Amino acid sequence: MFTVQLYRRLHRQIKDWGRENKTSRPFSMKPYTALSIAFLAGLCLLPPIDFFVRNPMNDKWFWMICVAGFFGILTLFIKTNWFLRIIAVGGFINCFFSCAPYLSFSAYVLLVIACYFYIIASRIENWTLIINCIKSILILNGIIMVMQITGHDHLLNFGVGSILPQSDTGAVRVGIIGQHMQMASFSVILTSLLVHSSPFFLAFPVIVSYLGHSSWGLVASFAGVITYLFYKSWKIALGTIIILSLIASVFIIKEGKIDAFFGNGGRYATWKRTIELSNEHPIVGWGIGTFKSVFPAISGLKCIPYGEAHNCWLQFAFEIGYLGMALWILMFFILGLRLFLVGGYSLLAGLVMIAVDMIGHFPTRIINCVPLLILFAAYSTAELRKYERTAE
Amino acid sequence: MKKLLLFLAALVLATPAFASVGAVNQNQSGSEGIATDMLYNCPSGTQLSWNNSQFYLNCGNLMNAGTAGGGLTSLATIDTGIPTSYDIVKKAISNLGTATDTLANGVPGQMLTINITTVTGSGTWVVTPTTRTGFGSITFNTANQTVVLLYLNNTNGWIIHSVYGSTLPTITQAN
Repeated sequence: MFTVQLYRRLHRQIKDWGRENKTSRPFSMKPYTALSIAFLAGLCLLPPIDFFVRNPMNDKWFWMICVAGFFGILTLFIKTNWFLRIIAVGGFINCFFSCAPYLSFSAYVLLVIACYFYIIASRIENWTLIINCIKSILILNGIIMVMQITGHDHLLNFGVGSILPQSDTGAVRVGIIGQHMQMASFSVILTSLLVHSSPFFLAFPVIVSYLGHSSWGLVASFAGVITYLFYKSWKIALGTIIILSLIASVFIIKEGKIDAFFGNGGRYATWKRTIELSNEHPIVGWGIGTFKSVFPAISGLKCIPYGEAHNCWLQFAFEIGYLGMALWILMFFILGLRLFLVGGYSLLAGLVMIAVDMIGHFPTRIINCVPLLILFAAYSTAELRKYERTAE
Repeated sequence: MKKLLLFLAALVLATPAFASVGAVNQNQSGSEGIATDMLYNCPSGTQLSWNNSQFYLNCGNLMNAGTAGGGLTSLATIDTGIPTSYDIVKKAISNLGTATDTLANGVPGQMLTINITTVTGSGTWVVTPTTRTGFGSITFNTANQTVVLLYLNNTNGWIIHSVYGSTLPTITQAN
């Protein structure tokens, strides 16, 4: 009798062990949540260190690619988003048409890991823990930036000066990421997940962009603010557009961003050249993960070598062709439309911020931003499911 | 079934491209279950060790469409002409002033690593690819200098993928 009771008690205990609850007690999370948090903390807090990983030589590389290809194809048989399946299988096939197959196949391994992170994240039931983690990352970055501004940062800067533009020299770092433009982009992506909790988080990317002299971060943040306000009151939104446009214009002119945009080494020349080169391989592109190596060599631009197009959309066109770019635009459009239809305005504001940031920055190539982008997609899908269930 | 058909269709589409990428072959004799057609240009060779991996001389044409592990060769100081049928070319620079070499066209997608093992005296070695984009030539003069080149296509030729070394090799700009 005692044994039966003990067994039942143990059985109940084991069943309860993995059950998540709203109080977010430590270790009361499910494996999917735990994995996501580990992935999030590990990558979002990666400082600007030289993370050189030697590519495996010889047949180990083949084995690695074949395993990645297997997991990519396996997505066809896993219950998940169709876009993800197209990315996972299409990405593998794209590598065969790449101008640099070795680079593309190597990049594909990371693509598959990202796909599986989405699959894991889309199975999270209680997002409270994840959102709290993102808030913690934001606060941590905030503390470090304050220490950098006041010259008390002995973690990354060892007390060297302020965080303003000298950061490109490498002597002074901004936030944990360590580069003012990338930090602005990171703050935009980070906040896109938090607008749903409170619109006041929108102040964070505005402050970071201002301190980091990033006009595109500022524009992306303002786009989020305006989208959010449109749902509240279109009159207020229109007024805000005028005010924010004025602020952004003054900031852009004061910082000399127009000259920088059109000048030698500016984004305009890079984007133009990216389009010209994309036109040479419009269907399949030059291959995933090739921009960094191929573009600086063949662009013919007499400026700093651009490892990224500073426009994710155009970089998609370069690497995976216009078809691939259209697929990404379609993904964003469908997600945006679904959020619009169910009235998920805070997430829609986040999506707009991401889309605008991707026009002038490259969050899909910043390792700290990638897990956040994937989590945003998973979170939006989870919230959409919730909306749809409620509607039923 | 639909998914399976989709997968098979993708596989069929990818097959011709896959053939150009090829496969690694460490088995010189071909006696351990490796198909004969995989043994292209892979006669018995000399085994070399580098970076804890093993390579075989003259065992790699199938590997040249952009993969590692296609083999390693060491150029003696007197050798001229850089072979493009390997992934890694090691070179000892002699003390005979400036030596010059050309690098022939490769296979689209091929990556070639050139590594300097030793430099005697003040010798230098200048490498000029026949077809190239973004640079003119590369001058090596210090041990452990490494350049990884990528052969894009027959129009652009070789481009520089990465450069390593405590003292970087000198790269002249394209004309």
